[in-house]
Amino acid sequence: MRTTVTARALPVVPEALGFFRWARIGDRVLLTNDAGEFSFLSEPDFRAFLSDTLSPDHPQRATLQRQGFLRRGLDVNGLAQRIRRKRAFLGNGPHLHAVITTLRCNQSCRYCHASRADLSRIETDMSLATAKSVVDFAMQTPSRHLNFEFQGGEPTINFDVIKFIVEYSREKNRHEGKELVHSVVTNLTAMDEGKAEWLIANDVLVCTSLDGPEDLHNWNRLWAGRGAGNAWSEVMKWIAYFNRRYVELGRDPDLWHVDALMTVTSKTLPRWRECVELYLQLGIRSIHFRPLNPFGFARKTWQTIGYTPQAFSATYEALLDHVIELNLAGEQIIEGTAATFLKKILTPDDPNFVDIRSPVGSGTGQLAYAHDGTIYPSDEGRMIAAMGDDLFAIGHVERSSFEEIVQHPTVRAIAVASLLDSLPGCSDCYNAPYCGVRPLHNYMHSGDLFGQRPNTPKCQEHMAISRALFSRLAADADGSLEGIFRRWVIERPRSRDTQPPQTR
Amino acid sequence: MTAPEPPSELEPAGDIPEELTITLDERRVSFVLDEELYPRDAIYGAAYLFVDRAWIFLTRPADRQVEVRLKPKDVDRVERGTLEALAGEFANELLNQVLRQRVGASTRALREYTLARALFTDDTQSSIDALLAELDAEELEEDELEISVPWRTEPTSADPEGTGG
Amino acid sequence: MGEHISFDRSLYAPAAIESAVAAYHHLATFAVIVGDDHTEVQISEIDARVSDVLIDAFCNHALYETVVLGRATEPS
Repeated sequence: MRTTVTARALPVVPEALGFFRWARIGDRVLLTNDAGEFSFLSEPDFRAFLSDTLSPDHPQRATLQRQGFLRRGLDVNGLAQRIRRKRAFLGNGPHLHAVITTLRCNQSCRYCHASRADLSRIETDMSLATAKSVVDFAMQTPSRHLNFEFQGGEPTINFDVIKFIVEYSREKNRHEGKELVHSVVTNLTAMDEGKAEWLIANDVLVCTSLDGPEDLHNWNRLWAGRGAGNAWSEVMKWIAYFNRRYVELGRDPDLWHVDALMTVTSKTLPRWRECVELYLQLGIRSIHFRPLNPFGFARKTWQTIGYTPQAFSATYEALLDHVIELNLAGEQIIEGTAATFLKKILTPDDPNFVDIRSPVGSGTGQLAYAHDGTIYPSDEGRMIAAMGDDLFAIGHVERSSFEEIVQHPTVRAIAVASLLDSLPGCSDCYNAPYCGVRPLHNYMHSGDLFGQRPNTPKCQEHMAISRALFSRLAADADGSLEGIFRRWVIERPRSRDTQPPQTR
Repeated sequence: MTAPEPPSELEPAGDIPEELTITLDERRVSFVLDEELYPRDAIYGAAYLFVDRAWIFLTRPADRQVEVRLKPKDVDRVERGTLEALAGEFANELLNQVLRQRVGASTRALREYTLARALFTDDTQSSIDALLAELDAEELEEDELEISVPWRTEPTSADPEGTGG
Repeated sequence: MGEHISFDRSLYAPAAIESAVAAYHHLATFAVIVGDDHTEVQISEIDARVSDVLIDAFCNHALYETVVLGRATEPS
């Protein structure tokens, strides 16, 4: 059967325009450009913009001109400077150095399938000699900022290595003069007062996993076997301990507190509101609602804990709206991924969040060091290796030079596969100035560094979050929401020589 | 093995009709596009954005013509309205792609210059004269672009790498 | 026996079809003949678990690889 469909072409005078990307968000048209500038236009104004018939006294004309969307009067040097600032991270080198102090872990979380070992496996502890080599290697980075982030397994089980790296890197830094940060991502169930006081005294930032109310957290994060207790209660106890001690020591609680990450399983989705309430009660001002990486699970496990990207996005939007309402009512709480995107959207800078930038930070913004000293572009590479594929093992701290690692063909391939300006689908996407592709994620999903963008979970997640933010900004007639969002993007360093942690 | 011939330049040769004739069968919608109107990159670009929603197959019924066959992935919702809507969305995305290509082609030299200027510290880098010529060819108003000053103080036509100065 | 698909060479890069075969070789048996105008693909022994979508998914993958290859070969 034959019939017709109608599509109306847009008249365009391209020589009147600067480079821009666009999308329809509700009944508005969103323009973005390489400097991350954005403007909303009505449909008629978009047509006038394209055809160079926007009236000289149109209220948005000056803004469009200043932002670089119009060719006439374009300040090329100013635009170049703004792009340069937005991509300042490009020349910095790796700043995030994830150190796997051990694979041993006392918990068996349902979503942690390949990167842990039982407590008896002491051969998976990093040695002090390897730890020294990690520091010697990592501190060759040209980056002025350097964050040693301790991960595992449960990193505090091999606490001597944490202490050694903190002390040795600080000693070494007396000659290097970098801005050095140390952070530990811990489940807090192997914590004791001795470790806690040492971490506090040595300014090591603490980030934990808190998946929600007691039954939910303990269901997600199993703790069984010898010495097992109530994981949620331990997390509560130590969050309270650290936060109390920071106050007792006179530190600003807005800056010094335990941060928390939440991994969302199918059990979390219907209970997101309880999770927000818990974070509020604990005074945790940032809730980071993160989807599962849907890889490597047995089918039965995924059927138990998994969900579709659409189900995640719907819950995410509900949570985002609730968090916004809380802010309108005077609460100070942010959603972490939204804040990352908003920093890109609303400020002239890029937060250099290694997973959401172009090119991705793997190898060029971060490195991961396995317990045996093997170097990976990121912790995802190590997880892929744990599943039996060492494609992303790019060297060793005792045998590789820094130049070999950052110029490794695998690192180059990852950079090419995540450069949004060259990727089909991404290069034209309105979200390109704010987005990021994760080739290792693609590789796990489809065996391919590039991946069919519209089919990848990360593309679906990022587009859903971006559309959620822009659609709310488009409807923000009085600017009250933008005011809230602008608060979310303010960062204050903890002191002259520390930066906020950048956990994944 | 070779890739397909690079698609021809981006400017459509004529006005794009507002109506697109489509053929429906039980599970599939198809339509024929004239490459004179829809450059192949625009067809590829639109098709790529539909890989999450549809099974896509391209054929060439005649020279300079491309037939697009779309089959919705969601087999539970295949009905005439769904197929027409899919074709309509595709047709609109095609127009978006054509517009993107026109804007991209028109701003290419300007964008390359801006990015080069943004990402390289040496102001004299890049083959400036060539870029100027391209910009001039687009009949830009030089004064309003405010880009002439650093170029003209140090002509670098004999020094395309921009090491002078 | 099996299914036959004819890809126009001016629309699908033969290298892209080879990549698609590599991506799906564990789910079916593929025989590829590259001709002057078309790349002919014979698909047989399709895994029963994916028999309803394999050919369609294979064609989408060949298109995707063609688009990516087109970017790689575009003059800079």
